[in-house]
Amino acid sequence: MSHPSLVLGIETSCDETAASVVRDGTEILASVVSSQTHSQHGGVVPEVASRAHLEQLLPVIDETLREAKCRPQNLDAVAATTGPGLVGALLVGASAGKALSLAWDLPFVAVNHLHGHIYAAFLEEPDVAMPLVALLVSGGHTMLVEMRDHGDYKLLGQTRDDAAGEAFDKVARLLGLGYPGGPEIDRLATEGNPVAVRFPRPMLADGYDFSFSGLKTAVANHLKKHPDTSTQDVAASFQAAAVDVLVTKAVRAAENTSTGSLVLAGGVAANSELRRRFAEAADDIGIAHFLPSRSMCTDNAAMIAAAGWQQLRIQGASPLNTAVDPSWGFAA
Amino acid sequence: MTEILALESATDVVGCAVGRHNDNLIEVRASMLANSDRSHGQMLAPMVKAVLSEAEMSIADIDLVAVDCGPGRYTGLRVGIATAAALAYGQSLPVVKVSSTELLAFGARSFNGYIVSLVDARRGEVFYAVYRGQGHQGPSAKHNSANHNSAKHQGTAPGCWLEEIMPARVGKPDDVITELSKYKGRKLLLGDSEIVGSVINNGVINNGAINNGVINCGVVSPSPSSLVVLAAQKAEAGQVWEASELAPLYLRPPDINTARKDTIKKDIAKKDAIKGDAVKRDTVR
Repeated sequence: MSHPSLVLGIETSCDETAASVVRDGTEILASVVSSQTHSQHGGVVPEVASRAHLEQLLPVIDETLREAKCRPQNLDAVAATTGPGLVGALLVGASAGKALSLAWDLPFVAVNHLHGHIYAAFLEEPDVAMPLVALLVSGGHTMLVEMRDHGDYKLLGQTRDDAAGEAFDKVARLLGLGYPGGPEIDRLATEGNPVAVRFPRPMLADGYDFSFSGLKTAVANHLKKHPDTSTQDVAASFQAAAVDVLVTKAVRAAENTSTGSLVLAGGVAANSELRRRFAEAADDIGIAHFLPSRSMCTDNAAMIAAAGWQQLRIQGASPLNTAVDPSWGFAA
Repeated sequence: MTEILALESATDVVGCAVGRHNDNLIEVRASMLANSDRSHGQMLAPMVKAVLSEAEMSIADIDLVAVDCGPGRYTGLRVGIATAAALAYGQSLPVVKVSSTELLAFGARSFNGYIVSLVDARRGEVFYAVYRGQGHQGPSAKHNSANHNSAKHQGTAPGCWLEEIMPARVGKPDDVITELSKYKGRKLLLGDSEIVGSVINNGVINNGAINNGVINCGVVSPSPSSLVVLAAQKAEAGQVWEASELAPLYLRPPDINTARKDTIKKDIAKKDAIKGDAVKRDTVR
């Protein structure tokens, strides 16, 4: 690259309306996230989310450009998430991104939200060594990915049923906690005994795939049989089981590939027990690890701008007739 | 002289047109239109580019962006409004908001009587609004009362204005028939799809409304070319807004069936089979 490159990123795949300006894929000039509240419905309501994105997006973009002290003529590309996610929500960000690229005569880059989560690492640690293995854990995804180089991904394994974050939410509901359940379980677990209940570690012995549905059922059955177990102990024991599986498989993947570093990504990466165990395990096998800051774990547009910048360099711009893909997987 | 870019995506039709308003002449210079069940988001941006190129213009030549704000298909409306708002924001342009029902009626503005616009609302319902055609008399003072920028208004807009008798609502076809019975005189029913046309046609015939002044029913779609003309008239009357003021006319509260983050990752077949009801609705609208 002969000159610095500024990318405007747009993210509207679920319930965060976000925009960001990132320089050279690594330096965040501004990152604005407007979060919606869906707690009263116990989950994200697609139509409510889509309406809110449309209301929030222009103000969020405007605030981002002001904060970055960036004029449109200084930008070099517009990148927007086009999947996976809620189709109506994705369409708002993708349509606005395409229109801004037309208005400013800039290349449009259609970015995969999952790639974005991995690029959150490069925003904070530009020298993360590749090939790397990323454990991507969120409310919608649980994946182990090998990234050999920019734009070169291999999905090693993923969940066969519930995502890890989903298991946290469901167990939180069983325990009568609010939505989202992850932070609550994280907090209660610090006061509980993680070996009080021996919950199963599903599929621990084989491969890279995950299954969390059985773990959730085991928690439900335990609560039926032993309703007097302390909430703190159940939270701590469940969390220990979930983290055990996640960390064991990440380590297995790192050992079986020629990986240079282990990267944690996604909303569940904010869980303090997972962060502690992930770092410990990486140290044990002598592999560098990266834990994103908590603001980079959750959905944001800086990670989309960063991924978009690399994608533009490697693959070039995306066509304006790019369709959003609600179930876009990791591979291109 | 005003160069206008018009975006239409409220119904199954997606389209774009550019036109020039010069004195009393409104010239549509290029337009594109396609039937698209679900791909408005794929088609609209390339259409804008193609229409500008066809008219040998660039986005920098545009003075005004017009968009159909519905009522209509929610996803289509959001594609149109997100596109229009971002274009207008990006070029610091004013916008003109037009409703789908007004745009339908505008095509029949020379009709001397009531014009009933119908737009498919899905789930067995219809969006409907009632207008009165004015022949070629031009706007009356009443229609300009909401005009915030009266200095701009010439009072001699070409063509004619429609009088809004009943703003858009959502209801069952039977509700439309009941509403129709309130208006004495000639009526013209215009609908955006065959479904609406046939439902209303049956309702009209079965309810004897045919004897109550309904003289015709027609299946028409909102047209981006008409949108250019209507927008030119609205702009001349000072009815212009900022990009941030654009919003769809939903007319219904959001469907609150939840789809948690988990459902979005699973493949579509699985979604549909298990718990995809809410997601599916989000997909089809």
